[in-house]
Amino acid sequence: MLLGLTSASRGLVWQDWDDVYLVYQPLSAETHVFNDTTALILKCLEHGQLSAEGVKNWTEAALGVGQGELAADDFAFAVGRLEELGLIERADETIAV
Amino acid sequence: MNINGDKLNGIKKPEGDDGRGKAPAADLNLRRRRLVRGVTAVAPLILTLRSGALAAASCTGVKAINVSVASNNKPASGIPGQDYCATQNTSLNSTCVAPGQLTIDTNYISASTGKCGSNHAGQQVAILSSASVTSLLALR
Repeated sequence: MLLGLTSASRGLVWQDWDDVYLVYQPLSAETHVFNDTTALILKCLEHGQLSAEGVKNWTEAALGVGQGELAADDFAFAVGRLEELGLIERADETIAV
Repeated sequence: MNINGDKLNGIKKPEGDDGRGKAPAADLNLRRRRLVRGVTAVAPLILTLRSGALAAASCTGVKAINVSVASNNKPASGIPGQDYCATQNTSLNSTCVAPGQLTIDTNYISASTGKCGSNHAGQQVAILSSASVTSLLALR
Protein backbone atom coordinates (compact mmCIF):
# COMPACT_ATOMS: atom_id res chain seq x y z
CA MET A 1 0.00 0.00 0.00
CA LEU A 2 1.38 3.36 -1.02
CA LEU A 3 0.64 6.56 0.79
CA GLY A 4 0.67 9.98 -0.78
CA LEU A 5 -0.27 13.54 -0.02
CA THR A 6 -3.53 14.96 -1.28
CA SER A 7 -3.79 18.35 -2.89
CA ALA A 8 -5.44 19.59 0.31
CA SER A 9 -2.28 18.93 2.27
CA ARG A 10 -0.30 21.29 0.08
CA GLY A 11 -2.42 24.25 1.09
CA LEU A 12 -1.84 23.87 4.80
CA VAL A 13 -0.68 26.83 6.82
CA TRP A 14 1.82 25.84 9.48
CA GLN A 15 2.60 27.71 12.66
CA ASP A 16 5.27 26.52 15.03
CA TRP A 17 3.99 26.84 18.59
CA ASP A 18 6.29 25.64 21.36
CA ASP A 19 6.47 21.85 21.07
CA VAL A 20 3.68 21.48 18.55
CA TYR A 21 2.47 22.83 15.25
CA LEU A 22 -0.81 24.60 14.71
CA VAL A 23 -1.87 23.69 11.21
CA TYR A 24 -4.71 25.45 9.45
CA GLN A 25 -6.48 23.55 6.68
CA PRO A 26 -8.22 26.19 4.54
CA LEU A 27 -10.39 23.76 2.60
CA SER A 28 -12.09 22.43 5.72
CA ALA A 29 -11.61 25.52 7.90
CA GLU A 30 -10.18 23.23 10.53
CA THR A 31 -7.18 23.84 12.70
CA HIS A 32 -5.10 20.85 13.71
CA VAL A 33 -2.50 20.37 16.39
CA PHE A 34 0.36 18.13 15.30
CA ASN A 35 3.54 17.12 17.04
CA ASP A 36 6.87 16.36 15.39
CA THR A 37 5.93 12.78 14.61
CA THR A 38 2.80 13.70 12.72
CA ALA A 39 4.56 16.55 10.95
CA LEU A 40 7.34 14.23 9.88
CA ILE A 41 4.89 11.71 8.46
CA LEU A 42 3.54 14.45 6.21
CA LYS A 43 6.98 15.79 5.43
CA CYS A 44 8.16 12.38 4.36
CA LEU A 45 5.40 12.20 1.80
CA GLU A 46 6.36 15.55 0.29
CA HIS A 47 8.95 13.64 -1.67
CA GLY A 48 6.29 11.49 -3.29
CA GLN A 49 4.36 8.34 -2.63
CA LEU A 50 5.88 5.80 -0.30
CA SER A 51 4.85 2.58 1.34
CA ALA A 52 3.44 2.79 4.85
CA GLU A 53 6.42 0.84 6.12
CA GLY A 54 8.77 3.22 4.37
CA VAL A 55 7.05 6.22 5.91
CA LYS A 56 7.25 4.67 9.36
CA ASN A 57 10.92 3.84 8.97
CA TRP A 58 11.73 7.31 7.67
CA THR A 59 9.82 8.96 10.50
CA GLU A 60 11.58 6.89 13.12
CA ALA A 61 14.92 7.75 11.59
CA ALA A 62 14.05 11.44 11.41
CA LEU A 63 13.00 11.39 15.06
CA GLY A 64 16.25 9.71 15.95
CA VAL A 65 14.60 6.70 17.52
CA GLY A 66 15.20 3.06 16.86
CA GLN A 67 13.22 0.97 14.44
CA GLY A 68 9.98 -0.06 16.07
CA GLU A 69 9.99 2.66 18.72
CA LEU A 70 7.12 4.30 16.91
CA ALA A 71 4.44 1.80 17.81
CA ALA A 72 2.68 0.24 14.85
CA ASP A 73 -0.70 1.03 16.40
CA ASP A 74 0.22 4.66 16.92
CA PHE A 75 1.48 4.96 13.38
CA ALA A 76 -1.63 3.29 11.99
CA PHE A 77 -3.79 5.65 14.01
CA ALA A 78 -1.96 8.67 12.63
CA VAL A 79 -2.23 7.44 9.06
CA GLY A 80 -5.91 6.68 9.48
CA ARG A 81 -6.63 10.06 11.04
CA LEU A 82 -4.65 11.96 8.41
CA GLU A 83 -6.58 10.06 5.79
CA GLU A 84 -9.86 11.02 7.45
CA LEU A 85 -8.76 14.64 7.41
CA GLY A 86 -8.13 14.36 3.70
CA LEU A 87 -4.44 15.11 4.01
CA ILE A 88 -3.10 11.80 2.77
CA GLU A 89 -4.50 9.09 0.58
CA ARG A 90 -3.83 5.49 -0.12
CA ALA A 91 -2.81 4.65 -3.64
CA ASP A 92 -2.93 1.21 -5.12
CA GLU A 93 0.41 -0.05 -6.22
CA THR A 94 0.43 -0.42 -9.96
CA ILE A 95 2.16 -3.38 -11.43
CA ALA A 96 4.26 -2.63 -14.47
CA VAL A 97 3.35 -4.84 -17.42
CA MET B 1 5.17 29.10 6.98
CA ASN B 2 4.81 25.66 5.53
CA ILE B 3 5.73 22.23 6.71
CA ASN B 4 9.36 23.13 6.24
CA GLY B 5 9.18 25.27 9.33
CA ASP B 6 12.11 26.11 11.51
CA LYS B 7 12.00 23.02 13.65
CA LEU B 8 11.95 20.60 10.78
CA ASN B 9 14.46 22.49 8.71
CA GLY B 10 17.20 21.05 10.82
CA ILE B 11 16.39 17.54 9.75
CA LYS B 12 18.59 16.55 6.91
CA LYS B 13 17.26 14.58 4.02
CA PRO B 14 18.30 10.97 4.28
CA GLU B 15 20.96 9.84 1.92
CA GLY B 16 20.00 7.32 -0.69
CA ASP B 17 18.70 6.98 -4.21
CA ASP B 18 15.34 8.53 -3.52
CA GLY B 19 16.19 10.36 -0.36
CA ARG B 20 14.02 8.18 1.82
CA GLY B 21 14.05 4.94 3.73
CA LYS B 22 17.45 5.35 5.28
CA ALA B 23 18.38 6.96 8.54
CA PRO B 24 18.61 10.73 8.34
CA ALA B 25 20.74 12.71 10.76
CA ALA B 26 18.16 14.04 13.20
CA ASP B 27 18.18 17.59 14.34
CA LEU B 28 19.96 17.96 17.66
CA ASN B 29 17.26 20.14 19.17
CA LEU B 30 14.59 17.71 18.15
CA ARG B 31 16.52 14.91 19.78
CA ARG B 32 17.09 16.87 22.97
CA ARG B 33 13.47 17.93 23.22
CA ARG B 34 12.23 14.39 22.75
CA LEU B 35 14.65 13.03 25.32
CA VAL B 36 13.37 15.52 27.85
CA ARG B 37 9.76 14.61 27.20
CA GLY B 38 10.31 10.90 27.17
CA VAL B 39 9.12 8.06 25.01
CA THR B 40 5.55 9.31 24.75
CA ALA B 41 6.80 12.14 22.57
CA VAL B 42 7.26 9.62 19.76
CA ALA B 43 3.55 8.90 19.60
CA PRO B 44 1.87 11.02 16.94
CA LEU B 45 -0.42 13.78 18.10
CA ILE B 46 -3.37 14.86 15.99
CA LEU B 47 -6.00 17.12 17.47
CA THR B 48 -8.53 18.96 15.38
CA LEU B 49 -10.17 22.18 16.44
CA ARG B 50 -13.27 23.11 14.56
CA SER B 51 -14.31 26.65 13.93
CA GLY B 52 -17.35 27.93 15.80
CA ALA B 53 -19.48 28.01 12.69
CA LEU B 54 -18.61 24.48 11.76
CA ALA B 55 -19.10 23.23 15.28
CA ALA B 56 -22.54 24.80 15.40
CA ALA B 57 -23.48 23.07 12.20
CA SER B 58 -22.05 19.72 13.17
CA CYS B 59 -23.86 16.90 14.87
CA THR B 60 -23.09 16.60 18.56
CA GLY B 61 -25.62 13.83 19.11
CA VAL B 62 -25.96 10.74 16.99
CA LYS B 63 -27.00 10.07 13.45
CA ALA B 64 -30.35 8.44 12.77
CA ILE B 65 -32.28 7.74 9.62
CA ASN B 66 -35.90 8.74 9.27
CA VAL B 67 -38.16 6.10 7.83
CA SER B 68 -41.86 5.43 7.59
CA VAL B 69 -43.49 2.48 9.29
CA ALA B 70 -46.05 0.41 7.41
CA SER B 71 -49.46 -0.46 8.82
CA ASN B 72 -48.10 -3.83 9.92
CA ASN B 73 -45.57 -1.97 12.14
CA LYS B 74 -42.61 -2.86 9.94
CA PRO B 75 -40.18 -0.01 9.32
CA ALA B 76 -39.03 0.69 5.79
CA SER B 77 -35.43 0.33 6.84
CA GLY B 78 -33.32 -0.93 9.71
CA ILE B 79 -31.68 -4.21 10.60
CA PRO B 80 -33.88 -6.57 12.62
CA GLY B 81 -32.11 -7.71 15.76
CA GLN B 82 -29.66 -4.82 15.62
CA ASP B 83 -31.37 -1.47 15.12
CA TYR B 84 -33.94 0.34 17.22
CA CYS B 85 -37.04 2.29 16.32
CA ALA B 86 -37.54 5.61 18.05
CA THR B 87 -40.46 7.99 18.26
CA GLN B 88 -39.40 11.45 17.26
CA ASN B 89 -40.36 13.95 19.89
CA THR B 90 -39.63 16.96 17.75
CA SER B 91 -40.84 18.15 14.41
CA LEU B 92 -37.26 18.17 13.20
CA ASN B 93 -36.65 16.03 10.21
CA SER B 94 -32.96 16.08 10.86
CA THR B 95 -30.86 12.96 10.86
CA CYS B 96 -28.84 14.36 13.73
CA VAL B 97 -30.55 13.79 17.02
CA ALA B 98 -29.65 14.73 20.57
CA PRO B 99 -30.62 13.14 23.87
CA GLY B 100 -34.24 13.93 24.66
CA GLN B 101 -35.29 14.28 21.05
CA LEU B 102 -36.22 10.65 20.75
CA THR B 103 -38.07 8.03 22.74
CA ILE B 104 -36.25 4.86 21.94
CA ASP B 105 -37.99 1.51 21.91
CA THR B 106 -36.77 -0.73 24.65
CA ASN B 107 -36.22 -3.58 22.24
CA TYR B 108 -34.55 -4.06 18.91
CA ILE B 109 -36.55 -4.26 15.75
CA SER B 110 -37.77 -7.83 16.17
CA ALA B 111 -35.35 -10.24 14.60
CA SER B 112 -38.17 -12.66 13.84
CA THR B 113 -40.95 -10.36 12.64
CA GLY B 114 -39.01 -7.28 11.52
CA LYS B 115 -41.41 -5.07 13.46
CA CYS B 116 -40.67 -2.10 15.68
CA GLY B 117 -40.88 -2.82 19.39
CA SER B 118 -43.69 -0.35 19.99
CA ASN B 119 -46.59 0.23 17.70
CA HIS B 120 -45.48 2.91 15.25
CA ALA B 121 -47.76 1.82 12.43
CA GLY B 122 -48.22 4.66 9.98
CA GLN B 123 -45.69 6.87 11.75
CA GLN B 124 -42.39 8.32 10.73
CA VAL B 125 -39.69 7.00 13.05
CA ALA B 126 -35.99 7.33 13.51
CA ILE B 127 -33.91 4.20 13.13
CA LEU B 128 -30.83 4.02 15.31
CA SER B 129 -28.06 1.52 15.54
CA SER B 130 -27.46 -0.11 18.89
CA ALA B 131 -24.19 1.84 19.13
CA SER B 132 -26.08 5.10 18.67
CA VAL B 133 -28.58 4.10 21.33
CA THR B 134 -25.78 3.34 23.75
CA SER B 135 -24.16 6.65 22.90
CA LEU B 136 -27.40 8.57 23.41
CA LEU B 137 -28.01 6.95 26.76
CA ALA B 138 -24.47 7.80 27.81
CA LEU B 139 -25.00 11.44 26.82
CA ARG B 140 -28.07 11.81 28.98
